[in-house]
Amino acid sequence: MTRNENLMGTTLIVVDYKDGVMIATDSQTSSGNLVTNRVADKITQISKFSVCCRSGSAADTQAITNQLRIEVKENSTRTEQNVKIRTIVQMLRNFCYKEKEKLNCGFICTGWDKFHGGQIYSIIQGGAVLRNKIALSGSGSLFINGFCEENYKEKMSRKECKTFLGRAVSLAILHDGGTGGVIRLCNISKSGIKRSVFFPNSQPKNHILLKDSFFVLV
Amino acid sequence: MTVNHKVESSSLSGDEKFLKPKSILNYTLTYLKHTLLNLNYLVNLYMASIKSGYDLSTATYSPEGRVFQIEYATKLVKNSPMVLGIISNDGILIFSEKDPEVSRLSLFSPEKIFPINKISAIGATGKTGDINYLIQRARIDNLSYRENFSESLNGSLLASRVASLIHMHTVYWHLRPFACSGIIGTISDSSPEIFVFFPSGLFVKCFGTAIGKQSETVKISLENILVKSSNCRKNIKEVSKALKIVKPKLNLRLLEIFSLSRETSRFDKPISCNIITENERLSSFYPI
Repeated sequence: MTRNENLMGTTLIVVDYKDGVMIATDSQTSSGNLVTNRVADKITQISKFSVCCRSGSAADTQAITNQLRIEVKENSTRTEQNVKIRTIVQMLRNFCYKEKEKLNCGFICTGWDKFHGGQIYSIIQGGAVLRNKIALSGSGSLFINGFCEENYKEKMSRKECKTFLGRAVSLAILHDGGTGGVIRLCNISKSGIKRSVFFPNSQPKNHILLKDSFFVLV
Repeated sequence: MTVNHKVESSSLSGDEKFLKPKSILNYTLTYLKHTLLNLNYLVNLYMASIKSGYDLSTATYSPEGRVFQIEYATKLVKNSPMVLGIISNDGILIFSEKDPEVSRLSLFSPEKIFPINKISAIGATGKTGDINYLIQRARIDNLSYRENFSESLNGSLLASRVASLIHMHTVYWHLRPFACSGIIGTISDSSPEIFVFFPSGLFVKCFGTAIGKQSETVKISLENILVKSSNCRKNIKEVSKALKIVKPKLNLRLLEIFSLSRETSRFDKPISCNIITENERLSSFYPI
C-alpha cells in the first residue's frame, strides 16, 4: 500500500483477482475548493493489455505517459508481440529515476501478461518499484486502508471483486473531501481491457442517522 | 622461339611429359595443361577478365551485380572448421569442431561457442579476431537491453542485431566485411529457435544447419535426425554418429558441445562426463 503526497485529491485502488487485475478510481479533480472536473478519467491506457494510474503533478505524469506509449509501441513492433509488463515498468522506472530531481510523480502500472498473469507494480516518487497484490494511492486511500486489509481475499471472482471495490471507493468518497464523482472500474484480463462506470452508494448508514437525531431531540 | 630440342607432342594422357618438361615450350604447355584440367581455375580464368578491378573494395559492384569481397569472405568461412546446430524436443544443441592443427596442444584450443546470456549462445567459424569482436558487441548489447527493458536479448532481436552489425561492415569502403558466419541458438517465449548468419549480413531462421567444411553432406543427415525428433541427449549421440560418417578421421574429443535443455538452467556444456566416451564407443561399433 503506497502513500503518495499528491496534488490532485484522488483515490486509486488496484486489486489482483483470479482472472487478472481490476482497478477502481474516483473521478473528481479539484483545485482548492473548486471542483474543476467531476467526471475525470484517471486511468491512462498504455498498450493493449496495460494501464497506468497517475498521481502527483498532472503535467509531469502526462508527459511521461506520452513518451512511454511511443517507446512501448516501438518495442512491440520489434519483438512482434505484446509487451511484457516488466519491460513497461522498467522503462517507466528508468525515466523516473534518472530525472528524479525535476519530477514529482508516482505511478501504479498494471496489466495482464501471458507469462506472469496479472501484475501490479507501484513506482514511488524517486523511482523505487514495489510489486504487490493490492495497491492503494491518493489522498482518499488513507481512509480505507483498514477496510481493504480486512476485506481483501486472494483470488476473488469478478463479481466479488466488483462489490469489494465499489464499497471501498464509496467509503472513500464519503469521508474524503478530495474524492468524489462516479466510480470508474477497469478490468484487465486475457480478453483485454474493459471499462465501466457506476455511481457510489455513499448513503450514510442507518445507525449514524439515529445517533444524530437522538442528540437533536435531547 | 628457337627450337634446339625436339618438341614433343603434347597429349593429355601423357603423365611422363607432365613430370619431365624438357624445354621452355614444353614447360608452358604442361603448365597450360595443368590449368585446363583444373576446372576451378578455368572458371577463374573466365571470370578474371570480368572481375578485374571490381573486387578491390566492398563498395564496388561488378557489372553482373556481385560484390566480390563478400564472396571471398564466404569462401574463407567455407574452409574453416564446422559448426552445427539443431533443435531437439526439449532444447537446442550446438556442436563445433575444433581445428585439429591448432588444438593439438590442448592449451591453445580456441573456443568456438560463446554464451551471451542464460538463454542464448553463438557458435561461429571464420576469423577468430572477427568472432571475438562480434561476441563482445553482442554481450554489451545484451547488457544495455537488459538495463532498458529488464529482459535479455533473445530470438530474432539478437539475430537481427548481430546481422545488422555484420551488414554495416559490407556497406563502407573503409571497412572490410566480417569473415565469420555463425549459428545462434536461443529460447524465446519458451520455444527454441536457431538462426544462421552469413558474412553478407543475411540471417535465416531454421531448425538445423551446418556451416564450414563438409557442411553440405552433414545437412542431409541432419534432416534424418530432425525427422525422428528426440531428446537433446539422444541427439548428441546421433549427431556424433553422423559426423563420424562424414569425417572418419574426426577425433571426438575435439568436439565442443553446448546444449540448452530442461536439464540445464542455461546454455552450457551438457551434464555428464561420459558423453564423449560414450560417443566414441558407439561410433567405433558403427560400420562405415
